[in-house]
Amino acid sequence: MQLSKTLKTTALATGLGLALSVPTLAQELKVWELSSTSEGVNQNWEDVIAQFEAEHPGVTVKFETFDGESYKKGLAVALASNNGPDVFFNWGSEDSISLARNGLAADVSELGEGRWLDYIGEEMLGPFSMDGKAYGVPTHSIAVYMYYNKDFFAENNMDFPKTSDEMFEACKKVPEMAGGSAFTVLGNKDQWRGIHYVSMITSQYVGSENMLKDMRLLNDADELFTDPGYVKALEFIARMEKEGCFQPGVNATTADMSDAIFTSGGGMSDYCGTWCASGFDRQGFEGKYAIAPFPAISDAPKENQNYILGLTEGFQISAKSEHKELAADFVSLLLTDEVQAQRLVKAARIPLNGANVDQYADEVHLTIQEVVADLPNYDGFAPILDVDLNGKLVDVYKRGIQDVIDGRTTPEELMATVQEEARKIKNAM
Amino acid sequence: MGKIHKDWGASLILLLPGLLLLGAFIFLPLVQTIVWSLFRQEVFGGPQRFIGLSNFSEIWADSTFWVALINNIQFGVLSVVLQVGMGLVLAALLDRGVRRLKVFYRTVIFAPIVVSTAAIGLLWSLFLDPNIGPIQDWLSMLGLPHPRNGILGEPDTALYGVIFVGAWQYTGFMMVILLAGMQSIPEELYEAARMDGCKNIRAFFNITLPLIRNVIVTAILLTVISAFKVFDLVYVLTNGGPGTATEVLASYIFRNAFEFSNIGYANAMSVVFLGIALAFGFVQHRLTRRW
Amino acid sequence: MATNLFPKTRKLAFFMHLFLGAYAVMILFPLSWMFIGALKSQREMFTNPIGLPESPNWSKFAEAWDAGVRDYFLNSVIVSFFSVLLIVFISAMVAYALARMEFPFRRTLYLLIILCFAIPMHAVLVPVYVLLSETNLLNTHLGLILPYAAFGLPFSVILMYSFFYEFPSELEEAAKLDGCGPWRRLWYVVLPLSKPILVSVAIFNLVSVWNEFLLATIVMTSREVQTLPLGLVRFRDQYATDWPGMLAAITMGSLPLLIIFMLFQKYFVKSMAGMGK
Repeated sequence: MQLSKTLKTTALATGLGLALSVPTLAQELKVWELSSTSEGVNQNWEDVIAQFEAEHPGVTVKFETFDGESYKKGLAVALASNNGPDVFFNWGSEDSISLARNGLAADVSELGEGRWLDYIGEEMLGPFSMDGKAYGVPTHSIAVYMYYNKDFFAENNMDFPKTSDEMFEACKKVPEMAGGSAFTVLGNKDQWRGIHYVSMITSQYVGSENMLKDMRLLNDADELFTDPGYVKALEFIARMEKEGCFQPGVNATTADMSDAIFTSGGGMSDYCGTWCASGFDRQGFEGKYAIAPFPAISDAPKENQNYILGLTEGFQISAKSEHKELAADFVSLLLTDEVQAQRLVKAARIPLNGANVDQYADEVHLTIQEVVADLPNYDGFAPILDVDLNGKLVDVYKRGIQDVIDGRTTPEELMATVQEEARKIKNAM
Repeated sequence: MGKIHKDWGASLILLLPGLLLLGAFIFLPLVQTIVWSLFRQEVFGGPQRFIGLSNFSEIWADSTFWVALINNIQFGVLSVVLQVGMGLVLAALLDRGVRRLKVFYRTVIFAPIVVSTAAIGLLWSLFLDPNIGPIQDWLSMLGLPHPRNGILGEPDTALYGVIFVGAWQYTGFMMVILLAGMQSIPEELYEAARMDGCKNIRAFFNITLPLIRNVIVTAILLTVISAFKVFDLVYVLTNGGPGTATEVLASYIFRNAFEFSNIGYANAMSVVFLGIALAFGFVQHRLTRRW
Repeated sequence: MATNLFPKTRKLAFFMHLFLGAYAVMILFPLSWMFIGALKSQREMFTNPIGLPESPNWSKFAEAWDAGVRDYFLNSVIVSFFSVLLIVFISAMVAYALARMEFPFRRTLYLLIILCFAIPMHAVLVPVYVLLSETNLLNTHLGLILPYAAFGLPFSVILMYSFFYEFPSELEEAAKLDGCGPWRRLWYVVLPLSKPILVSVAIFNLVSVWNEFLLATIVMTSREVQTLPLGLVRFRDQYATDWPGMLAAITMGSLPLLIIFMLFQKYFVKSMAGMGK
């Protein structure tokens, strides 16, 4: 007791001394990030911030986190007010572009030289760019894979399906062999898992480039979302439901519950993001799953098949920030080889370039290693419909997908609604 | 009674804090809502563009808005039937029916009012869940048709599920209001009526109901007004889904403003909403002549 | 002795009790399911949704309390206490001025307050949000207390006005002769004699403020400042598959007001019944 009090006094005195020695330089950098329940992620942030503060004497980082829903809601308001963050997390998508369009995110094109451009190519800024200017910097990527029950497929001498034909066959065979368990699970009560599925399928039918043009409303108002591939994708997911590929009650099952169904054996695979692995481990499923890409759809154009659902995430700088240079230093620090490796090991954040990764191979989660090795094999990311699209359209789309799965709306009807809504939004722009 | 002081300065001091609060949080926002409904705005704090009445013509053509409005109306009508209807029955039984256990019944039936609607929504979403809730089991045990996605997961039943949970919470409130009305009827009236051979059920229709007419009207208006304001229940139980089956005005305005970045449009719908609220307020004021 | 509505046969009394009893069960069953569910294991929730747990597990309450319910509870107490305090005093001041003082536009002001009563918070959400953001009140307790106070005022003023209006003025006249100004008359003469209405107003507003959800959702985005209703919903989003934990959190979130209600149920019922007058 006595000892700790002395320690505290000493620490306080030292702290005061330090504060007194650099009083005029004291600056505060406010950083906003999504909250996480993973200890590794939080530990990693502490380390990164400590390193940054050590490299920038007199600067304190004020690190604030919010959960996903609150984050999106509060960000724009905070940026417009005078107490917003200097640096903030964002998805490399419509979310970050809309901030740029409304003058809330700073143009960082000039700040990259000698900073992040030392580590990543300029083309990687694409998802954060508008009219040839960069408004954010990617720091890591996420991707969505088919996680499957390794033991089940091994015991039954089955390979995980590589094509949609094989998949539909598996949809029939798996319940027979697994005592009624479904081939895969889908928890679409909260609607985003369904739209992830549809995004992946659509990208195979329509192609990523074309999809993005529609999603960013770049095509003529009357041509938006008119590619027949959109309807085919919806027909595909309706067929999956009809042929019993999913567990019962898709629209009554939440995403979390569907993961629990997968790890408890009620379904033999789960289409889930790279962030899902640690959750499966926590549910006692460690080492019992492997990953595979989404099956190639047999009647989709070959050149569209080598994409993987995913996106890059990164950081933007507030247009109102008074410490833009400092903020840029902070972002840049996240991209150094050392920090990228640390983020990979501790926080399972998939680095943008694989340099340095081999060194840490044995510390990295097995699945994440597989992902890191696998990602360079693809031609690019398939766009995710619920992050790269106008909010109203996302809502119409994802609620419509529930209806399509339940058979209340036909794929044609839903796409007609989406086209109509997109036309309205485009015309109002 | 009477005005006993003509001190304007003192009046001002007494009124000032209240006026500031009402001005800042009700009147100013009221004006802003109306003005901003004429603009298009994509993010809070972002640029605004004047577009005249376009938002309102968009409302006219927005099928979801009408779905939401019709859901509110259904909500209002069914809630009146369930809450005021059942409230009347319960109040009558407690007023002149049973003699024992009155306080127990009243306490239990009224209790859900003091639990937050959000908590009640969470409880019932688990209670009605097809995987872990008992309702699903009971329905199948009784051989009744039970929706595969649960009552809240099927568009045909979801709205009724939400309305039921609302009634579960608020019927006790209506019962208490009606009971207070019934208890203020002087006993002599019943005595006199009994002399004339009017008693029991007939006394209820001939004496009780006419004399608490005003209370019933208030109860109906309160129910309808809160049906138009319903938000928490929908947000927690179904978030407007499946599809748009349980979308209501408040949830749709909320999502336009805070999820779709459609701020001007949300304001325009707020203006419509405001019109409805003021109309009901006016009717209430007129009918009850309380003030 | 009240005459009964129905003939006093035993049979009828039995059916009336049966009806009321069944209704009471309909209220009590979900509430007890919530409490008992909190004591079950995750597995039992699936396999045995209705019955009692084999060995009750009390730890979920402590877990949920530590995982955030404590903070939500404290925030709710702070926000509710100050909102209700503000509402009671400010509405008493306004109602007193309206009932007892003479000043220009008195009648207009009264009508405006009635108008305010009809305006729901839902309809002015966006401007209120912008105002709170511009004054840096988002994610602060004050950011909820002030709007709650504002929206609680109109109805409270109306209730108190009718009470003060009928309040005998002789006592005040006497105090006036003793040289008491309006402020002291309100404080020393009127308020002490107005306890019933003050309690009514306080209870009524406590119930609505403690349970408010919509404004809290948009104002309180940081976890540390969230109030109970909002916190519970966020709790679900985060621990979606921990059903017993979820039920423990809801139980603890609902208990405080339920206990206060049980203790003072007469006042609660009277206060809420006042809505129908």
